[in-house]
Amino acid sequence: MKKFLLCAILALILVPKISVADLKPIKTFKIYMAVWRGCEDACKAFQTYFKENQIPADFIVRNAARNKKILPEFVKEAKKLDVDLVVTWGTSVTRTILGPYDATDPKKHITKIPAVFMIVADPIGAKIVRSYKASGRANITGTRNRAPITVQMKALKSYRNFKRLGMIYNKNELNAVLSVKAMQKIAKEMNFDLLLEEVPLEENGKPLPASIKPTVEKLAKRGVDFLYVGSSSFLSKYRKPFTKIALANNLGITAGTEVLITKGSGLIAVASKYYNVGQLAAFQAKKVLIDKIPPGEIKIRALRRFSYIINMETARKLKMFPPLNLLSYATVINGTPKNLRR
Amino acid sequence: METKVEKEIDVTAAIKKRLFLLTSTVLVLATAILSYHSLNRFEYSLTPALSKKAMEIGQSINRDITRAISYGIPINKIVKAEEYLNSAIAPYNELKYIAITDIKGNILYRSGVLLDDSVLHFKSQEALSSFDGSRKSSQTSLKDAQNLAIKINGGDKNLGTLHIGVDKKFIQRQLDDLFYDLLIILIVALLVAIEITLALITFYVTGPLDRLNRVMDLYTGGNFGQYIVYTGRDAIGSASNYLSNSAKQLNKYYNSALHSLKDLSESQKSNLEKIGHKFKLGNSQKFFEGGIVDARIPLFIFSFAEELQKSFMPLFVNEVYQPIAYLSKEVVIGLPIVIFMGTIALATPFAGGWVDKYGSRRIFMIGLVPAVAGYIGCAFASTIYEVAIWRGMTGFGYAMITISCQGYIAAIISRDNRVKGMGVFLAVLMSASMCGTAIGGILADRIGFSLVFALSAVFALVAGLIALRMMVADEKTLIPAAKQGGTLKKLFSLSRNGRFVAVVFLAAIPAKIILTGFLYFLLPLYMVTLSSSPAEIGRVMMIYPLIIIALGPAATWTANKLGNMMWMLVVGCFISGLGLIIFHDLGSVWGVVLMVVVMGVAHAFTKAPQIAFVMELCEKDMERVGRTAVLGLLRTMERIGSVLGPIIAATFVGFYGYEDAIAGTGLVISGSAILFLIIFVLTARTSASKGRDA
Repeated sequence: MKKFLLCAILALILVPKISVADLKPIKTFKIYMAVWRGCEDACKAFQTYFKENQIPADFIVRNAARNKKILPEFVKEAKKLDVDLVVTWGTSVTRTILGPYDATDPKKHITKIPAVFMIVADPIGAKIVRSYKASGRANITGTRNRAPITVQMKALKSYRNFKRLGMIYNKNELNAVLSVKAMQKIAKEMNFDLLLEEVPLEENGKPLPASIKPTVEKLAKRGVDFLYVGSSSFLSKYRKPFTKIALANNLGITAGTEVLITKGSGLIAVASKYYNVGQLAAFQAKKVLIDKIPPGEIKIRALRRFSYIINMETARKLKMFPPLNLLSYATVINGTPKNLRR
Repeated sequence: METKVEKEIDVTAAIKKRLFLLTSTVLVLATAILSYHSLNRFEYSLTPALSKKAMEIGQSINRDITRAISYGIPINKIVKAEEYLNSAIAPYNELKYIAITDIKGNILYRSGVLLDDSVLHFKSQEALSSFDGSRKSSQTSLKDAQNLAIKINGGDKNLGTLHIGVDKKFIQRQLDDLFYDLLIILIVALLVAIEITLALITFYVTGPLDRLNRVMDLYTGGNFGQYIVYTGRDAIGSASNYLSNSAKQLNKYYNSALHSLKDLSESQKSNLEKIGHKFKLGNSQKFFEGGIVDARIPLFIFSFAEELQKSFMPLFVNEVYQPIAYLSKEVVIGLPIVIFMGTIALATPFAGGWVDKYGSRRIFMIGLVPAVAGYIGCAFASTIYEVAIWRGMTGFGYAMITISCQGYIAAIISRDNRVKGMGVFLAVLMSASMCGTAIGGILADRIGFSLVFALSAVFALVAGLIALRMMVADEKTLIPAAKQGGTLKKLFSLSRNGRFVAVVFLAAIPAKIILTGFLYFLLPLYMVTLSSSPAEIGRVMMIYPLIIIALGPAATWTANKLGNMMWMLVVGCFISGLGLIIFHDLGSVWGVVLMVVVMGVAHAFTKAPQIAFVMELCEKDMERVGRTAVLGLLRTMERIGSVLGPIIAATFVGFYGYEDAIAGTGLVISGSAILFLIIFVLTARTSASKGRDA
C-alpha cells in the first residue's frame, strides 16, 4: 500500500495531465509468470512495460529450468495464489499449463484465470489457439512472432537466389494446408517453383517419423535449392532428425519458426526479437487487466519487425555462406567453428 | 578664378584615382598572401585528414571481413564481397579503390578504379613485407593514389590485406575549388572596396571639397546667401567653417544694421537693401547638394543581401518540396521565383508613386520591413508555401527599396545627368548581383541555406542604417504629384504602335524569360545533376553580371558606331538563345559556362540598343505621354517575362528533362528573334513610306 501511495504521488507529480479516472486507486495486480529457461528478454520486457506504464503489479516469476515435470506444480500454485493473470513463455510451458484446445482439463490446466502466452512459434500448430483472430478459448490470448511469408521469401532471396523451393507438409494439419496455399500464390508472384511432398500417413491419419527421410530424399532428387517449413507441428516435433536428414542431403532449411534453426540444424529463420515480443505480450495483458476486455476477444497480435537468424554451423557444413552485408544485421548462432571454440 | 576651381576638381579626381590604386594594390596583395597561405595550410592538413578517414573506413570494413572469417568463412569464399565493397566506396568521392588480396597479393575482391601500378604494388615485396613485426597498417604513395594497407587477420594468422586508395586528384580538386573560392572573394572584395572607397571619398573628401568650391564660387561671384554646414574637424572643415562663419557674420551684420538703424532715411534704407539684394544678404540658407553616392552604398548592400540566395534558391525549394495539385514538380520549384518576380512587377508602379509622395528615404525604411521579414521567414521556412509567401514579402520590399533608390537618384541630380545616374543605378545592381551570387554560393556551401537567409536579413538592416545616415531628408526628394489623369489611357494608345508591341513581346520579354527561366531557375537545378556545389553554381552564375559590367563600355561604343539598333537587337536576342541550343547537351560544367558567356555577351550588346530603339520607335508617342512613361511601360512589360521564365522552363523540364528544356528555352528565344525580324522587315516599307509622308 505504501508503495502504491508512493506511485500515486509520483504519478501526480510526473504526469500533470492525468485525468480523474486515472486517480481512482487501481489495485496491484498479481501476475504469475511461468518461464522455460529463466527470465530472459521477453520476460524482462513484459515487466518493464508495466513499470513504464505505471501499472502496479507484483510479478511471481517461476522458472521451469527446462524441466517439463515441474510445470503441473506451477498450475497448482497459480490457482492457489489466486493470481490475476498467468503469463506463459514458450511452446512447452504454454502447452502444458494451458493445455491444447481440444483436450483441456480444468484440473490440469489454467482454464479460468486469464492467460497471455508468448514465444510460441506456431500457436495454431501447437493447438493452443484455433485462429489468430481470436484464441477460441475464453481465458486465453497471446502473441505470435512469425514473419509474413513474403518477408521470409525475400529474406531467403537475399541470402541466395533460388529457383526451386521444396516444401513438406502434412495434409491432415489444416494449418499446414493453408500455408501451402499461401506459398503457391507467393511462388507465382516471386517467380520461383514450389515443389510439394506430402508426408505419408498411417491408417490412423498420423504421419510416421520414419517417413521423413524418404520424403526429404525425394525432394532432394527433384533438385530443390532450399526446404521451406511453414507451420508444422509434426516437423517441429521431430526437428532434430528432420534437420539432420536435410543436412545430409545438402539441403538448407528456411523456416518461420526459430526452433528448427536454434534447436535443430536448419539454416535460416526470420522471426521477431524476444524483447519486442515481451512488450507486445504486456500490451495484450494490459488490454485484459486495465481495459477489461475478455481475453477470448483479443486477437493474437504479431510484430512487424523481425530478426534474421542464421545457423552458421549449418552454413559451414553446406558451404553456403551468407552474403557479407547480411552479417552486419543477422543474429548468428553457432558462430564460432567447433575447432576454434575454447 | 575659374581655372583654379577646375584645377581643384582635378585634384579631387586625382585623389580618387590614387586612393583607388592604393586600396586595390593593398587588397590584391593581402588577398594573394592570405590565399597562398591558406592553400598551403589546407593542403598540409587535408592529406592527414583524408588518411585518417580512410583508416576509419578501412577498420570498419576490416571488422566485417574479420567477423565473416571468424564464422569459418574462408577469405576467398566470401559471398557478395564486391557488392559490399561497392556500397562501402560509394559515399566517398575521395576513395579511388578498395581491394582485398590474399597473402600473396592476388586480388580476391575489388571495387572502384584500379590501375596497373596499384595491382603490381599489391604483389610487390614492399607491400607483402610491410606487416612484418607487429604493424597492422602501412601507407604507400602510388602514382594516382595514396595506398593504405590494413592487415586482415583470422585468429592469429595473417590471411590477406585490405587496400584502400585515396585519390590524389581529389586533393587537387579540393584545392582547385578553394582556389576558385578565394579568387571570387578577391574579385568581390575589390568590387566592394571600390564601391566603398568611392563612396567614402565622395562623402568625406571630394564631396565637401566640391561644396567648398561651389560656395567659394558663389562668394567670389558676390553671392553670400548660402553657407556650408560641415562638422568634420579637418582642413576642409576649418576652411569651410571659416568661410561660412564669415558669410554668416556678414549676414548678421547686415540684418542688425537693417533692424537697429531705424532712423535711417528711406533712400538710405533702400540703398542698404540694394546692397543686401546684390550680395543675397539677410536670409542666408544652408548650402545643399545631394549626390548619387548617398543612395549608392545602401543600394549596393541591400542588393548584395538579396542576391545571396540566387545561386541556391531552386535547390532550397527542392528541399522543402511537397506536391501541389495540378502543378508539376518543376513548376512548384519555380514558384517562389515566379512569386518574387510577380510581386516586384505588381508592386513597382505603386512603390514609384509612394516614393514621389512620401520621399525616398522613408520608403527605403518601410520597404526594409517586408524584405527583412521575408529573409527571416525563409530562414525558418519548412514548407513550399512558407518559402513562396516569404519570397513574395521580400519581393514587395525589394520593389520599394530599389524604386526608392532610383527615385532618389532621379530627384537629386540634374536633368542632364539623369542618363548617367540611371547608368550608375544599373551598374550598382549588376555589381551587387555579381558579388552576392558568388558569395552566396560559397556561404551556402559552408553554413547552409538557412543561415545565408539570416545573413541577408542582417545585411539588409545594415543597408537601412547606412541609408538613414547617408540619404538626405525626404522633403528634398519629394516630387509634386504629377497629373496622372489619362496617362494610363495614353499608354494604352501605345498598343496601336505595332512595332513597339513587337519589341516588347519579341525582344524585351524573351530577354527576361531566358534570364529568370534559364539563369536563375534551370541553371542551378541542372548543375546539381552535374554534381556541382552551390559555390560552383554561384561562380558560374556570376559570369553573367561580370560580362555585362565588363562589356558595358564596349557595347555602348559599338551601338554608337553601328547605329543600327534593330539589327543589334535581333542578332543579340537570336544569339542568346542559340548558345543554349548549341551547348545544351555537353553535359558538363563548361557547357553551362559557355551558355552563360554567350548569353551574357548577347545581353551586354542588346541592353542599351533596346532602350534606344524603343525611344526611336516611339518618338511621336513620347511627345504625347512622355519619355519616362514609355520607358516605364517597357520596364513593367519586361517583368512579365521575368514571371513567365521559370514557368516556361519548368514546364519544359517536366516534359523533356533538363538538357532538352534548356534547348527548348533557347528555341523560344531565338524563334522570337526571327519572328521579330520578319515583322520588322515586312513593316519596314510601310513605316518608311509613312515616314516620308510625314
